[in-house]
Amino acid sequence: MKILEPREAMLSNHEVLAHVQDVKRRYREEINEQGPAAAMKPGNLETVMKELLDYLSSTVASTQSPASISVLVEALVKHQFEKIEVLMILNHLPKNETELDVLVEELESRLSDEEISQVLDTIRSTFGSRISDGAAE
Amino acid sequence: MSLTSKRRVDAFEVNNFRPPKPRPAREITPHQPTRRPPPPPSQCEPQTLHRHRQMFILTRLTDLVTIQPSSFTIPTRQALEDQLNARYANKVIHKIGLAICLYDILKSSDGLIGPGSGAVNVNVEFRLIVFRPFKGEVITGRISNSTPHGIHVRLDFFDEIFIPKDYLFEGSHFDHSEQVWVWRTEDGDELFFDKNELVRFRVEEEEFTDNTPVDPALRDSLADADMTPPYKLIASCYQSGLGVVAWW
Repeated sequence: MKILEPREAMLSNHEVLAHVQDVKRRYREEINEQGPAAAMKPGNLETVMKELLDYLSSTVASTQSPASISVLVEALVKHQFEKIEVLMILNHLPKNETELDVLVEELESRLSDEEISQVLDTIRSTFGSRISDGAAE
Repeated sequence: MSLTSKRRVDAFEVNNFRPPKPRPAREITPHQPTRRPPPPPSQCEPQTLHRHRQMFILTRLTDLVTIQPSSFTIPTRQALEDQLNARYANKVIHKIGLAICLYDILKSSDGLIGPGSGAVNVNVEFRLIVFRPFKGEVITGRISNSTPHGIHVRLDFFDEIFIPKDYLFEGSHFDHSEQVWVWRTEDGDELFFDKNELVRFRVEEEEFTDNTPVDPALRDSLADADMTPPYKLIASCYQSGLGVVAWW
């Protein structure tokens, strides 16, 4: 084993969730095509995929879609957030200023009150009432 | 020991590990027993945020995969995927993080049959999804238990997260009869870190332990073998917006 690139890319929670769901779907197709022998997947993989699905489906990642994510990311670009801050906002979808302040360093000196409420409004309008459902889990 | 994992994860020996690029001096080296008090909020400066990290990352590796003749009936791609997942899924790679599963296969060489067996050897270049939150990242998890030393937090797939008592809100104390941490706010309200509550916390430190088996003759005692988890996170909870999610 040789590590070529420890950090080639970052994934948002939603991308990981989508990938795992995709893998599960593919495995089901394999079973249909090749019979039950193909259902024998490594036990460690089954464990981690199940636990990861349990975790991610309790987060807001399960309410997102590639379309809604790109809408939000485009709206956030205007405010000069760091890339990881955008990803964290995406993973958490803060509902109020306190929650946003945790994710963004020095929030108040970087953004005016107006901009902050703009960001929160964008999040609310893009993901609507589903935010509270996901976070309340 | 309450610090050990309920589920053991194997440590990988990384023979050809390439050290990461030099890091900023502020980063805390692993194995350093740090229990310093939380820095004041003004010190939580942006440089604790490393730019190229996120909870889940992709790591590119190469490895030699052996396909046994019994697997020749299934498509090669699928056989490689199963082998790689069996080898890496749910295991900690030293200094990389917790490998979740295969993301994609980038390249694979022709299969070579070595002398003495009918198995085919393939060199594969592939990418793994790896759980490796960066320092400063905010994550939500559930409280698994509390002790006078701090709070243990778990994600469904990762249990080794600990919030030491020095990293809790100022004015927190441990209630021995209830076995919970209580935060008395400035207004005099008492807020409880109850078991199984959803909490939001910030990752402060990460610790990797190389659990490669040691020669029994060189080992101090059998007892300390495999006691430390290979990958563990130290987290904090002292800023408005952190703590139990329902509070904010």
